[in-house]
Amino acid sequence: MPLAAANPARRLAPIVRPRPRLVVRPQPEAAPPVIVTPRAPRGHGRLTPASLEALRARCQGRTVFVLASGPSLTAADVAAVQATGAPMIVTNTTFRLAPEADALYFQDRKWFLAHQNELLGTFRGMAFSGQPVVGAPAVCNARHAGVVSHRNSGGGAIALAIAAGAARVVCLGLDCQPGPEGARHWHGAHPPGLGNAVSLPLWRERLAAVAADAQAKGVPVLNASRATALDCFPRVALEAILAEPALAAGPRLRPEDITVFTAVLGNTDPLHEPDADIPCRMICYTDQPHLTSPRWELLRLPPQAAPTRAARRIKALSHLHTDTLWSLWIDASFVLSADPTTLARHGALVAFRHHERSRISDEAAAIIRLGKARAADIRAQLAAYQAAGFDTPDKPQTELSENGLILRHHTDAVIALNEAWCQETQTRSLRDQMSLDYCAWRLGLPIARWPGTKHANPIATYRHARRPVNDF
Amino acid sequence: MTSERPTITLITPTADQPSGLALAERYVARQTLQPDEWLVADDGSVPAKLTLGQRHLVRPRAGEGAASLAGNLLAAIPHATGEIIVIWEHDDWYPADYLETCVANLRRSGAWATGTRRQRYYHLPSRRWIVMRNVGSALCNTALRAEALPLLALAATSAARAGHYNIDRRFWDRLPDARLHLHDEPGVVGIKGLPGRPGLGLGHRPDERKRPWKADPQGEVLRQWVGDEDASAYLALGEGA
Repeated sequence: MPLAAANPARRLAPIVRPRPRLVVRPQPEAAPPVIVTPRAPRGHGRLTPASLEALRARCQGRTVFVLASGPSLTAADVAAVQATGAPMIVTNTTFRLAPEADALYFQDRKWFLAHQNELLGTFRGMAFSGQPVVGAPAVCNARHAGVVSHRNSGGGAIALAIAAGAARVVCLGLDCQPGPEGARHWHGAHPPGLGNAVSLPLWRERLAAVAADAQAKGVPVLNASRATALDCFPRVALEAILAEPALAAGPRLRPEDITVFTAVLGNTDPLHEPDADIPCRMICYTDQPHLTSPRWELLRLPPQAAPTRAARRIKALSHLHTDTLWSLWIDASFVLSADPTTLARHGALVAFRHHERSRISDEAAAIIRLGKARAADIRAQLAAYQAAGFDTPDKPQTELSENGLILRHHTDAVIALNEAWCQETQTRSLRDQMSLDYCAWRLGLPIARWPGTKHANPIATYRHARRPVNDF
Repeated sequence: MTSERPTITLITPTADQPSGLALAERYVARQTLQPDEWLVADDGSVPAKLTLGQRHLVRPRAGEGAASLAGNLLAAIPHATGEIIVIWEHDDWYPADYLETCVANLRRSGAWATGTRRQRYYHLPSRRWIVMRNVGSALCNTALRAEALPLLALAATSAARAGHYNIDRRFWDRLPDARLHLHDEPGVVGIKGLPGRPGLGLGHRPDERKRPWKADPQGEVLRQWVGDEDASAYLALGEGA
């Protein structure tokens, strides 16, 4: 209510100057129809397009695990390695034990042809080959990246790790000998038509050359295989490696370095208390006057006329809405169950990989089908991104981010991403999964992935409540 | 800010400053662009007397200094419905076109916040003055769009957690260049030493060893800054301080 109306008896001066006229924004042109692009052509699947640069972003200066397919490899050991958050490169069929590995290396073209359907349907990392592969554009010929194959998958994987900047390589399943019952691999025999380690007698010599190369480059390569015939790499117990503080804890932040933040504005999920002891600051921006929390620090805002728009702005601009160098955005639909100070090991910019979709063209169709935004806005947004070269039929997007839980290190690059993302959500649709990957692609910023999906992961539990859409 | 004339909310944190608040009403009343809403968040021991239809948010005194200022701000923010929010401190002097200038600056620049780097302070009891040129602006010189309210709330809570009154610095430092509009025009005069509960921050206890405050024994500088009538009112209050 204007003050004059609230108290007509007061003596306020009238407005004596003319008020400036509003500049009316022109209406956007009619949006083009949704361009529903065909599924990714054979050869892409869910693979991340492979490049040495992208792998280097994960491996540079770190301990990299190479998981080979020897009979001594176990699922338990792979899980223990995975829990450290350290980069992993698998060879051949070992992708079945570690579908979240950063990279796969295979030497044999025949192996790829026999496994490509399964591989492309389940593995989400980067694939590198020791031989040229036709019809699989997401697979990188490691030779073209300057990696010497050594005519052996294990050796090529080690060479790949070194080329990607590993400070140290630790191998598992690098047995170079049959198992107790003559098994050549942990997974049993390959499909008919493929050999089963038939050149095993030659591997010792080839891996000795790998060891010599590594030594020349000053990169220690340790063999933590449970059983091995190799003596060219120093042996080490896996438990000893995993107990090293840096790996046991991953890179750990101080509590004052990271803030967990969320927004509860308008019709939204109820605020959930964390399931774990969270040592850092937790901020919730809310316009709900009766909301209380024993753990969240509530920053109360006025009722928002466009609550989703406001929440998206807060979410995107993490560097403004927190005081710390790191932030963890969590949608109110999640319950946090991990200590945020331990999460930096996953990367400087981390989000979930979408549990169903890998492309914004599919996301756009889902948004329109579910009525979560105006169809015309989504169509226009998709068309604009595809016109810019993102998620096009000939270069389809391979990973779609799911943005309920985002870890960000507020570097200049991440701040630039935040600002670009905010601009997209405020000027196009509010569906932020439409725009994050596009902005990251435009800025050349890779997004690391949480282990698992939003429905099954060790960091947060998804407890979504159905609710109406606030605003478009 | 989509309407032809943006709605304006004033926020005044106050506590036991009746004389300053009376002057604040006078300066608001003569603004060339009138606010739509005035929130007075008050944790004084005696609730303030308000005559202009302000919304009076009386709250228990939660603490001194930084906690009081931050608490009052945080109490007012959830009630601020304007498209533009202007911090209007009870003890400072504002020119008659202050709101109009703020609105024009925000509209023209597209920034989230506007304020002057050039801050003028006058200490009434000792009749001394100083002009500062800071990297950001002061709280009394801060006008912002509603989009920036979460940042003001965060600055206030963070300052209170640290036990410091530097809400303004925390707010202005947070904003990237593209989102702020800082200028060098003189506007508000920070009046220090009014009767009532002591204020916070720079100038309430001027220390010449730290900053070169200048003497104004006849009140000439004050008259030049705020005009004869307002200067006389202040100097009279200063006599009684």
